[in-house]
Amino acid sequence: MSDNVDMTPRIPRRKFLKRAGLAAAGLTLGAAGLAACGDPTSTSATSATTAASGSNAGTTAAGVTAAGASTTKQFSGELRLLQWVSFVPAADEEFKRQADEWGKKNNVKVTIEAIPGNEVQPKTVAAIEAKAGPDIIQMDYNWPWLYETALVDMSKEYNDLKTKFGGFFPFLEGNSVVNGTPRAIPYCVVPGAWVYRKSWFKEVGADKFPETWDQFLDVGKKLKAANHPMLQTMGQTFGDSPGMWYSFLWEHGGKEVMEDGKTVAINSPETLAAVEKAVTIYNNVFTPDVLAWDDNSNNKAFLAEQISATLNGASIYLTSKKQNAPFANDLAHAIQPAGPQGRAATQLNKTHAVMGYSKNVDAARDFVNWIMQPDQYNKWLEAGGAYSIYSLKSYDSNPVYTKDPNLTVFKETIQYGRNVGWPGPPSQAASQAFSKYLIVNMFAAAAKGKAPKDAIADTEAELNKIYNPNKK
Amino acid sequence: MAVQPQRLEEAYRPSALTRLRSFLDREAVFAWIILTPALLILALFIAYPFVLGIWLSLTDKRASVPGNFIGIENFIKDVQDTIFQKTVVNTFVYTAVATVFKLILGLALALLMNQPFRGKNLVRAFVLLPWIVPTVLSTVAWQWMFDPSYSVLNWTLKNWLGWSGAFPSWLGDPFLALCCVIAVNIWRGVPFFAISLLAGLQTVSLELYEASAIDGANPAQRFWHITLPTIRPVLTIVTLFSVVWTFADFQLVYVLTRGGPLNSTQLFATYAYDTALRGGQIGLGASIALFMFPILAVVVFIIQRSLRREAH
Repeated sequence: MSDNVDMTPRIPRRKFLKRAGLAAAGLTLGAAGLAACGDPTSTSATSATTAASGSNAGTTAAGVTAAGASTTKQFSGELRLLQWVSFVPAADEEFKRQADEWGKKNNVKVTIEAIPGNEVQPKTVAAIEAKAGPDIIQMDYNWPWLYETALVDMSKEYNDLKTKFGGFFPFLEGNSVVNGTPRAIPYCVVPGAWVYRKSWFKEVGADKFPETWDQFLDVGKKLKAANHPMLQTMGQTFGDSPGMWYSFLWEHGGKEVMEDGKTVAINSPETLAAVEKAVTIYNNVFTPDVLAWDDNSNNKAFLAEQISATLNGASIYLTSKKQNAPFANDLAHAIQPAGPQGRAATQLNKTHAVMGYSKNVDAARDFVNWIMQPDQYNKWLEAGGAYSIYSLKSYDSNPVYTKDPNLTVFKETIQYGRNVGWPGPPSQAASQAFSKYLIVNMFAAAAKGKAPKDAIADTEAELNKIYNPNKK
Repeated sequence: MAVQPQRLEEAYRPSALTRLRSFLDREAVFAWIILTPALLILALFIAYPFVLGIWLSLTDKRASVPGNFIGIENFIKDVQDTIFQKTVVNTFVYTAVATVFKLILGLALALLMNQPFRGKNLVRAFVLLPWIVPTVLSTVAWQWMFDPSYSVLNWTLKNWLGWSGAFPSWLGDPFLALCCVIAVNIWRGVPFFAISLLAGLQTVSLELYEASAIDGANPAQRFWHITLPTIRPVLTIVTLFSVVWTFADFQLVYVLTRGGPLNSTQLFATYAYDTALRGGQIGLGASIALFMFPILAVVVFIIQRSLRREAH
């Protein structure tokens, strides 16, 4: 109030505001002009520089590594690595220990930044756009395809590792080699298997886990009636949900796109059969909670003894053993039931990419390569207790996979691994469909009462917009 | 003789400092000087990102690759996108329902707190808590309350209200999930309404109440004819802020439902985030976020006008 009284006689308020407004408008327009003229060029200029420096760095690093095989490498400065908080803390601790070890040896300060899995991608995009952030990012699925130009060419390390350790699994190769150039080093796969309570299954007359989805439905009905339902998420979350529903679609012969990666193929009798089957499973085996579940929910529900089975990594089993849960010995794992087309699986995979904007590319490349070597990699696999499956075939001999017969099944699932967007190439479009949860929501919409045909037609329309953006 | 006037002139010529002072004393100059820091901050932190946002929305920019100018194609894509259409409806429902409830409950709470009672100050401080606690923290607590496994809500239904049969799946059902995010938004927003309106209520002159009581006005009439008109400017401003904040809400929904199930709680901000940062379509994401702008601009304009009319 008093401000107004003081001000009015000197500068009339209206005049003052008018001036202020004009000034603001002027500045805004100036900024607009600057942004409009300067920005696109500067963006492309910078990205060109990045690409150039990326490839320069690539050659230098290759030189260094080749020459450095006999001599000690000289690094300095800092390295930041972004990864998810895995569901097995012991493995994360071992990873950190290795980072410290390498850091001490090489005089580099290594920081591991671990955040929830759902947050890694937004952070990655933000870092790429800001051209600043972690030097190494542990990516999921086919991300190297999405951020190709922002990533350093890793051919040298990739090919070395490939020849030395028996090669990478084909679907990991598909995810990491972008247009012929390796852009990341596949680190591991976090496969899913059904973890279940043997005694509860016996109570309803099932001696083992169902082999097919029809058997799954039968046993599931009984378990639901016994108040021990088998549940799996149908929600909007990154790991378990696509892990279940893409696989379910493929196992019934459905697919979102043809091999050409352009022709949308979701609207098929096979998809219809898959969706109808999913609805029956939702109504008779699941409870509505699955629509809200994230990757954490089934772990919680299982450990709280509320469900009899779920599709998950080994984390539930490992946690219950670590916590000495009374039911730890009642757990077993089983491979995903088969559909009419056999088995398939979208497996969460982790792959290390070195960022082009990094000021410490050589060190980053060396670290990423170093952790794949037997001395480090075997220890990390063991710390994870078979939660993670090796990416390089020769690590098959690691005893962690045979030590506990309850965990051998995870290794078996690798052979069914497929890329998101299969049978098309792992493309940007496949990722968009993935990030919009189109496949998951097709099943969820039908489960919530939409006619399966309509749910498929909606999904087809959305997929068409993504795969053929220019077709009207 | 002729020298003297010249000397006089010299003697009276103002020093550089005085001239600077008088220059600075000019209204036009002084106004600019005190405005400049604020304008620079505005330009740097508001105008630049905003303009950049507009530019991005007109390109097909994707993560890690530069974009090309494509005109309003993104906006056309948005309008045709079924998830976007759902997002628009969700955002309006979310904002409208939450704001109405916050207004009613906040006003009721303010009236209550305006009454003399023991421990008044303590209550006022406690009422502010939901507003003070960081949204992400309080929302995680709500997530536990809605959790199907550990839900205190379901526990209450079962043990106190004798609910039998299947529990409602709070965040699993599209309709209930929207209700839940709205409820949490109301819970978080009511204190802001209550405290601001309380401040407004305290400016109402007691003499007016006394005079109207003498004239025989009942409490309802007093509220309608004295309280409400007096606090109307505060009410308008508070509602305006709330509409803007609710419309552009992000944290609450992102923590509680991530826009699901079936995009039933997807708001402009969460969908823009998903599209730009998860899907990598930065241009398209920017266009989704920008759709908020004209709508909010209209809201601000309407309320500004009604405020000005009020002032006249």
